[in-house]
Amino acid sequence: MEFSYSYKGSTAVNSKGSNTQMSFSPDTKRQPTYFIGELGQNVAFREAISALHDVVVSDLRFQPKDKTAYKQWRAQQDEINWSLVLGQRQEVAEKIRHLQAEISGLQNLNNQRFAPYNQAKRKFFDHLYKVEYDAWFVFDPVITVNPDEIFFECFSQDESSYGRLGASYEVFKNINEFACGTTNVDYSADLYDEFQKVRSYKTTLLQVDPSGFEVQTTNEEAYKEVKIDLPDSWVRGFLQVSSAMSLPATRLDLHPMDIHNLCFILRRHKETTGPRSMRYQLTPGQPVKVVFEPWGIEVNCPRSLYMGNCEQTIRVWGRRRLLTLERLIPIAKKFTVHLLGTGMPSFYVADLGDMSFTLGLSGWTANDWSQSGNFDLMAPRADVDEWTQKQIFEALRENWFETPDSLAQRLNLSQTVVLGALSAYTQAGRIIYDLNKQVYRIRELSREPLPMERLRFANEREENATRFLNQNIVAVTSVNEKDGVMTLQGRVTDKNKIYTPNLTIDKDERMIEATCTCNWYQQNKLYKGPCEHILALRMQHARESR
Amino acid sequence: MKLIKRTTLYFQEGTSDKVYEVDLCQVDETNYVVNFRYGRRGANLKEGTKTTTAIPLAKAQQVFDKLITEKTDKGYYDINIGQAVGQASQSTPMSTVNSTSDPRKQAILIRLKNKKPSAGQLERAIWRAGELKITEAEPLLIKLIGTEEALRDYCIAWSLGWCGSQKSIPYLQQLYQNPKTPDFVNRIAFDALLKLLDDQGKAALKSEKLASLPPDLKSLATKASPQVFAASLNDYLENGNYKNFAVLDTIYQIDNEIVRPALINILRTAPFKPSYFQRLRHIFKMAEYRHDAEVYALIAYRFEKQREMFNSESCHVKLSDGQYLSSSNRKYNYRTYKYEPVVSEVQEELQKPESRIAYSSKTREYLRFRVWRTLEELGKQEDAAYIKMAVGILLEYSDNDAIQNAWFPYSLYQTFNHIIYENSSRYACYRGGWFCKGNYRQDNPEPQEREEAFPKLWEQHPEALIHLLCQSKCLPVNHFAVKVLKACANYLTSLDIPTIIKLLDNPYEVTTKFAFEEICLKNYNPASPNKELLLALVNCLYKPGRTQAYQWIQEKRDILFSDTDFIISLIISPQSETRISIRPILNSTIFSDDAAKIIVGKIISNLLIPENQGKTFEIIPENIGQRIKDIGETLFISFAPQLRSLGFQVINDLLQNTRIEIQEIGARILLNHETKTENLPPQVIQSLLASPHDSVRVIGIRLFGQLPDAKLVGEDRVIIIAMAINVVADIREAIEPIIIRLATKYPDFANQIARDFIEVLLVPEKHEGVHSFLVKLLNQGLSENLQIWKHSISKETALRLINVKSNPAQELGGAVLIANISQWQSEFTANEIVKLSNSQMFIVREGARQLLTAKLDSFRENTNEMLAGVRLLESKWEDTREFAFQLFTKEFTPEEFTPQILISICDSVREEARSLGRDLLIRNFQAQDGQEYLLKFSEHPSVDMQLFTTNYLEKYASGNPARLQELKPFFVTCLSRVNKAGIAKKRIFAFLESEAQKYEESAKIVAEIMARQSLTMAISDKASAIKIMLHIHQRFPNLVLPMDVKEVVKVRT
Repeated sequence: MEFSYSYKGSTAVNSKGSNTQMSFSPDTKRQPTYFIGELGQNVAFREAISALHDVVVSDLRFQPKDKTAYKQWRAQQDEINWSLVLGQRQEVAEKIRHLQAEISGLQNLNNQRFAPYNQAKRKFFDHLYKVEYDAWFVFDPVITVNPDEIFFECFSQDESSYGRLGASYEVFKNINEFACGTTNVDYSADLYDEFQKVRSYKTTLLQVDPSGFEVQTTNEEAYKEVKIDLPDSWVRGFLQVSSAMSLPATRLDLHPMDIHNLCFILRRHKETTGPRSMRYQLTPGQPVKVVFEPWGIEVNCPRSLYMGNCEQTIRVWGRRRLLTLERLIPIAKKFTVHLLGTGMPSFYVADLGDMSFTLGLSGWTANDWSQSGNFDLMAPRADVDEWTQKQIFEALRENWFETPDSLAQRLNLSQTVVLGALSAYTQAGRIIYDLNKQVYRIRELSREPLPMERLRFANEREENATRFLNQNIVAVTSVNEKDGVMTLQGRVTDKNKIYTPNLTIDKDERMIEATCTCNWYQQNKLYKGPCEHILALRMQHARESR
Repeated sequence: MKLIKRTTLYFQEGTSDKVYEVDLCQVDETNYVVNFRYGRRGANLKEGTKTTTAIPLAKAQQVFDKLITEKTDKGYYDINIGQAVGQASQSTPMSTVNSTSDPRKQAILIRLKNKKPSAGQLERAIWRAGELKITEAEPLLIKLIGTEEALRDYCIAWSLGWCGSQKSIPYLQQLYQNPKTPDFVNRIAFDALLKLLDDQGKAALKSEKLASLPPDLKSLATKASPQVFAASLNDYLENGNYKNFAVLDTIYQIDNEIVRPALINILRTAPFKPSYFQRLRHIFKMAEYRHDAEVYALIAYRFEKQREMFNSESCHVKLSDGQYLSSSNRKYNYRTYKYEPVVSEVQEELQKPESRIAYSSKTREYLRFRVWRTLEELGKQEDAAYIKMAVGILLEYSDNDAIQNAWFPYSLYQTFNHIIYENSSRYACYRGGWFCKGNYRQDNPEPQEREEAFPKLWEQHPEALIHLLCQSKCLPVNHFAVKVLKACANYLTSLDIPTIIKLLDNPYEVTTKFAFEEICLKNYNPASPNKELLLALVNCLYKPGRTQAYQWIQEKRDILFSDTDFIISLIISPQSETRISIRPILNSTIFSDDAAKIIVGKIISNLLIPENQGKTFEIIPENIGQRIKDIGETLFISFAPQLRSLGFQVINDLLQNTRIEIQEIGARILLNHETKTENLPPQVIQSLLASPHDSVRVIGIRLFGQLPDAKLVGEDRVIIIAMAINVVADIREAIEPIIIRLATKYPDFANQIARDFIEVLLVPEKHEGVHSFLVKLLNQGLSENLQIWKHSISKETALRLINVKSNPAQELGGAVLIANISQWQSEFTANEIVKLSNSQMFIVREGARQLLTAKLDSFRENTNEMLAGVRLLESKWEDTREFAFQLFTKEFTPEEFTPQILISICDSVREEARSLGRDLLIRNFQAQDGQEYLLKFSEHPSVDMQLFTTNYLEKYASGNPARLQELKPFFVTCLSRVNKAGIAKKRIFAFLESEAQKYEESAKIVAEIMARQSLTMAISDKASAIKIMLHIHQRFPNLVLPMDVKEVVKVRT
């Protein structure tokens, strides 16, 4: 999916000893949105926006190590070893050693001679990396100005973490003028560096530059045209996480030092084998307990009691993403955790006083098919006709933010209808649910509406799987669990044909093995992802065990 | 905190190159700390401290010394000593050494007399008798004729041909005329008769054969031209069946001057397939018997080149009509249920007279080996025929036969290699293939010793070698012949001039070198130089030879140069070096005007002769262009006066010529012609400028440049600019000297044109290379003596240039900036300079640095400017950063480092800038600023600065509850660090513990912090927090703490 922006110049920072002026360059193609304000809570804002930056650049996807050089060396070494073994006589071994010494000498010489070249090459690539650093970011953050607060949103490169920094107007000292709306801003690494210099003894002016909209397009050169081709999966991930926010969740509060302890465990230990999950053990009225697998380390949170109704255990994955919260520990008053369930997205809302930072995490760090099955997040929740939907949206637009209750009252509609319409817009990326203040806010993610039909499912197999579930033609026939590895067998009766999918899920809830009797599986095995029957079986099982 | 002492240690071993820096710093009057820094030299160093709390000087000194001795014991040292390790390798040359009787005749004669032994051995003896030419065997052989064994008769006839005399003729005739004699015996008997008969007898025999030709050919074979005969022979072969091919045998038997060319043509092209092949084999055998080198070598060569028609090993043979013949010689019998031996289909087919297959892989192998076996036998007998046949074979090969990807280019050829490499130390024959021996590889130098078979035989026939050198188009053959000829010094002195010239004309350097060094140098008579020889020498491939020839010509110039044709031959020599080397000799010679005119005239008329008619350039056609250029150049150098007055008609002819090079010569003649440019017909320049050839156009531009200056500077300036930004690089380059000349003469023009060019540079480049050309022109061309234009550029234009996307324009902007530094220094603010110093062009950054250096004094005075300058330390560019580091470490005094500037440096996001900031701070520390540093650094987000800040706690925050409250976020931030900042935490705990004991107010603040931090899982931190709370509880029991102190119950058992 291609997004194109047009910025008037780059985001610029003017710092003059005691004051800094940060002027964000907004997307001039969108409706004018601007804001000028002087920072009041400098240091806290600095820490929070730095955490947001960590989300933007975070990429925790597994990067396989490049072992070609080692394998080459290993093969060579094996050959040498074998030649040593085979050379029975001392003489031969002596000769080989002599030659090896010569070769290594030559190789050293070779390396020495190539060294300046290699160094220069390295330097050149480093230079390129630095100069073109901003090209590494996937998506410029979105700034939304609302009547009560201004918030920054971003989504990480690995399609798994969502960050939102909301700053209410108390954070700013003098607010000059603002126009509500959403816009993309030109974002760069230099800007991050400049944020690091925010101090309380320096005045910092933050402005989403309104002058950008006034300039007539006379001189084309002045505009910076940016075209970003985002993978559909990225946009889908973003929408999934943001629509998950409006779903009912298990809520618990954590003391900042509890987060410190969670990070502490992660910093001190490194997992080599699975399962790599964090288990929230929640008992009503008791302190929250978090167990780290596979070590079984328990973190007790004596000052954070679980206030829910029923006892439950929720497992979450992708825990290293929590390290983003590290910088917020000293400035946070508390963290509110929203857990949607095992393998479902989770949210950490840091209460920073006048600011709030929301870290949204998808079920797993890797957003690939081995953990797929989350697309019911994007399923429509209630049938609301288009006209009513539009009416509700326009009503919300008047106030920019509102709770569903008051909206229902104002429009004289039932709450279900309002919620259904709002969730539909949330899924389309036009409205966002603010976990901190529990209100819906207008936030148009893109200038043009997103193509929802294309985004809902990654492929037609997912679509078919949901259809099977809706038609109720999927049955789980047997469930076997051994050493934490679960084997499922099932039956799908589609158009008078019976398919018997079979799948194995490991301790980290990853699909590690699957078979099916359908043609797709016979032809592709798992190389192109699982077939619709396997997906349907997995979802059916998830539904039954919920 | 003030630096008292610093020691820097180094460590170098293998790839490791480390630094260890130890600092002794004063915190306040009595307290000191020891900090250290370590890491790879040049990289960011890691910070650490040996003292968590400040200690008295004596103790600190102890810690300091101990750390240094500890490090020096580990191998660190104060001064770095370089080490160098050198290696030398040796290689041992490899050498390999190669190593290798008349009772025989007696034995053969005995065997022939005694015919009892087994048949095979008898035939062998008969054959040997022929081979060894044992005349004594003749009567014995004659007795053996007529045993009904065809093969034996064949052998006898063969042998008699060699060792027989007149006596044998009747017997052979009888054999030949006997109708019962098989064909093959008949053929050999015919040839044996040819050997023994006198001329008359031969003619009779041949005319008999002639009569047996088919009627169509019979008349043609004696009277018609060879072409007519060839045509009708082809016609006869194509239109008949296989039987017609027998005529080929007959033709070779006739072998007169009319039929031979047609036969050779057929031999060269005929496919090795049925109907042809059988006859070819007969002819091959006959040629071998006759020692007919031409025919023999030709067929032998074809055996080497022509792949077999079918593989004898394969289990079936596919025919052209798609049918398969099985080669299996066993067949399943359905009656007996057994495999029974049968004659295979292939064998059966081969037996048929109209066989559809021939020339199997085995046949080919046999024939290839037979060629060398025959030659070898001849060689062993020291027969001169060996030389004849070998020469014939060697001449068949050319450089086109070299094969890449083989052991060596000719490794596939059997006989060829045997002849010239039989005794080689580098190539050897193994199991029928030729390989490199030992370590020798194709591109190694050639060994000096001789390698051919039968070296003595060759030495006896040097004329054959000369023949080889004159004829062969094959490099190894030339090498071989030269090597052998070197051994025949006496023969070489007798060579005549035409032969030497032929050798010099040889396309191989090895031969020309040999001809020069071994023949010319030794036989040249300087008194009477031979012009033809000299011409051959100057045109030869061997450079020293040519050089020597130039010298000889130079010496005898007076005599030689009286001949204009000789001079012309030199000028238009096909050898490019000669064409150039002749110029100085010509220049030092004085020609009469008439002679010169004749030379010029002849050369130009030579040039104007259309290519297909002129004989001048036929030798190396691909270099004609270069040759014409060289000739033109020589004309311009040596005969300029004559060209100046050359008639317009001739120039016009040159300009009209189809070759560009000749047009160029015409144009250049115009350029230097005595007629002034403005007097030339205007259409001449126009037609040159409109020429489709760039090079001609360029000369047109130069002609254009000769127009009067007033015109060029005035109305033609627009044309000049248009040329300078032209698409074609040559045109741009041609106009460059004109612009430079005009600009030097007219400063106004320079300014004007510079401004015009800058306008072009400010818009995106239309054609690639224009911008860089303009920048080069402005920078190098105009600036030498014309810096003025740069000063006429305004600052705004310079900045616009720098901000443009095109790199050359930015570069020019930088150059302008540098030129105007003294003028503009006051106009630039530090902020602008910082921006320039981040430019991607080095020269712009350099300009920025020079600007800053120039206005350093005003910079020093203005704190705000200096603050802006701090950003230089964070530049993306290493050179700018280096400059900034130099600037900040060397140029300023402690007074100029105000706290604001030091804090600004420490606030940097770059680690090395921060460490520079800290370093500057402890060097230039003023006690009264300590408070400010503590408060401001406490907000710093990085760990290293937080640790640094803790150094100031003791002195500037102790006993001050208000300050403690201010620093609370700092304490919380430091203590909340996850798994980091251990020393800072320790210091803070220690500080807070002591503070909590002082005032209740402080204790309250500390208690709040501890209440929060006590929740940590880190055991030592948790313990410290609890300890502090306990102490607070003991000192101020009224304070509410989130803990319940219980009495310790001692239980003793």
